[in-house]
Amino acid sequence: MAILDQIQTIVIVMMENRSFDHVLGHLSMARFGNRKDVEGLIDPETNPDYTNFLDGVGYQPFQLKDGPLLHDLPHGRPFVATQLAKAGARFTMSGFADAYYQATGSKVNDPPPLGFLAPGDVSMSNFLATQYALCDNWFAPLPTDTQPNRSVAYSGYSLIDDTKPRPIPTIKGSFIFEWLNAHNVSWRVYHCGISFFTLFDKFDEVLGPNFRSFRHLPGDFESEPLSEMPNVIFIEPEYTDSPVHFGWTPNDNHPPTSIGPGEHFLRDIYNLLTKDPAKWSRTLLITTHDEHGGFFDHVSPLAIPAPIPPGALFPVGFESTGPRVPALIASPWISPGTVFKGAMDHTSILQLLSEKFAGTPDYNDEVKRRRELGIQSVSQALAQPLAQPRADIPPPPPDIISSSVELTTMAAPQTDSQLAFTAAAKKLLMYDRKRALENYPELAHLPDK
Amino acid sequence: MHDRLLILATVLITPFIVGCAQIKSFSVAPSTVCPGETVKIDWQASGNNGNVILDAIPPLAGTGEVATEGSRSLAPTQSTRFVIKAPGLLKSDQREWDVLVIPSQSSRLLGGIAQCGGDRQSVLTSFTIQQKDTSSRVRAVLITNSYHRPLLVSKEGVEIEIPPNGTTDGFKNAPISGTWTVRTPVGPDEACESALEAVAGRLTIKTQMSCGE
Repeated sequence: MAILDQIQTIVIVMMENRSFDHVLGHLSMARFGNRKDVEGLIDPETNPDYTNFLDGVGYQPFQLKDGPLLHDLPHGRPFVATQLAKAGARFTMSGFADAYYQATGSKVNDPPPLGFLAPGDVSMSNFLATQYALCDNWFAPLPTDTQPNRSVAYSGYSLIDDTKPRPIPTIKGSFIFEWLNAHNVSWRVYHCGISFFTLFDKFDEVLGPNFRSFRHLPGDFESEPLSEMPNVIFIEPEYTDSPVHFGWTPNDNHPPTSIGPGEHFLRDIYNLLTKDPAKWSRTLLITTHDEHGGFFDHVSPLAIPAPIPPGALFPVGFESTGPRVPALIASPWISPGTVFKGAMDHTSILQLLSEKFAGTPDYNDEVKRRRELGIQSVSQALAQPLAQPRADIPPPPPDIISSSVELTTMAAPQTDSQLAFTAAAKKLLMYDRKRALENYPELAHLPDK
Repeated sequence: MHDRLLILATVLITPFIVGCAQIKSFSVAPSTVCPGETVKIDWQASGNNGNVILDAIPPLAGTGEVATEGSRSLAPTQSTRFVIKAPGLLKSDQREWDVLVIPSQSSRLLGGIAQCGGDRQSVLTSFTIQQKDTSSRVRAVLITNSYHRPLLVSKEGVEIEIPPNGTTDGFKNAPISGTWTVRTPVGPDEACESALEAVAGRLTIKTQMSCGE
């Protein structure tokens, strides 16, 4: 595809735990833009198609003011099954209130999973959707939580079906860094705090020269000529579940963290990438979320099964994708207000990388299998590019954070995800303490016990 | 020596006992009541050295610091959120429970996941509103059908058809608690799957609630 030849650098940002309707469902609402071209929410407070049930009582989506939530929302595999509420062959998407009660023991009139955000609370996502491209049929690949979905995002496969404090296993040769290295593709990871890639036990990579603090990104962008910029850049937020926050506010969108800091983070990235128009004209920014995080979405997952891969640590395969997640694509080659409606999931990015750097969308057998079942490449969203890159660089909204930010010390890891981050960080220190502290100085504050 | 070991063990273990607070159970019943009625609040917490707080929003007499395990009957005069908090050094826990006092917000959706079935070809759902959830004084004085198709609503042997976008007061004298069945007939040229699709796999009625004797 000719447009791929124009792109020098692909920037990938994967945030945490928000559904499409929660973040961008407002786009189709009469009071927030009334976009008929977007598969968002329509009259959510009264639409009976969206009603969720708990003990015979119905609950409707409602406008949620962004801010720290009281609880993380349930999003492990059994809870997602409750949320999808399958009846016969149909996912009714009516069990989000039920799952919340089961998980938290809280029974409230406005269950947070049914909350959707107004444009003012997600002004950067709204901006990118309005000024560039929105994919409104992008799903988390698996109906479960973070680690399996990120595993698929970075390898096509998942050998696990839940999030636990253990190294995330991968299939040899499929992991993204192995693949990029094998294809002589230059890449780099910019991370705020500890990198999620630490959880994959890739310590030599995580401590190597390709991993840099997000603070280095402005300098690198300014000093490196276009020809020396990496082909692929991953930019990671400060994870809420990280055991130590040192100089960064969690900005990954993972509840109970509010979404305001994540929107600010996206704005910083956009401002950096667009600073040099010549570089921006050769850049493609992809931002999505790893999974829905327990938030309601009204669209049924795709009936794309995921059989158990060899060496998997779970006994039952998946029969569908997870719920939809927000996905935005920005580049000067894209017309404002583009909506791509093709079926996509995180392997759409792997297809794109493989198309550009290996001449085939089939990154590996699993990515190929999902493609043959209907998952399209990100490149399809660029199938009708502009003849020339846009001369305009729309300025982002000036003030993003509308919610309060609470910085609290995590007394002790409480969830499996927090335990996983803590275990990975400690293992990284044991692997090479000197280099670990050079790259992640905040780990000096990690409690020994 | 033995005493020293005991003291050392106590010193080491105590922070973990009092440090990780957990709420094992919390419930408020009924969740929907009439003015003047009492609700029963039950809770059980652990691991926080007895420092449990029962809160109410808006404030309500009878709340405050409570025992680790207990029960209390209170009469909220307006809709209230009850919050139980168990602070811990290493881990805290909290749960919330909303009580609706009619008539501050007197409409409520009822319903459930639907399926094809029944003696007559229809899409139907059946659900039970339990007395622990809703006071037996609460009545469904008006039921609204929000669909563009008829609904047949039945409870305790009484079945009433509500026309598309219509209403009925046929259940105004019966308690809202109990088992309800809601169904919509499948049209003569309509497949049941299509009817199910048309209602997004669920059936919901909107009830206007009031308090009877």
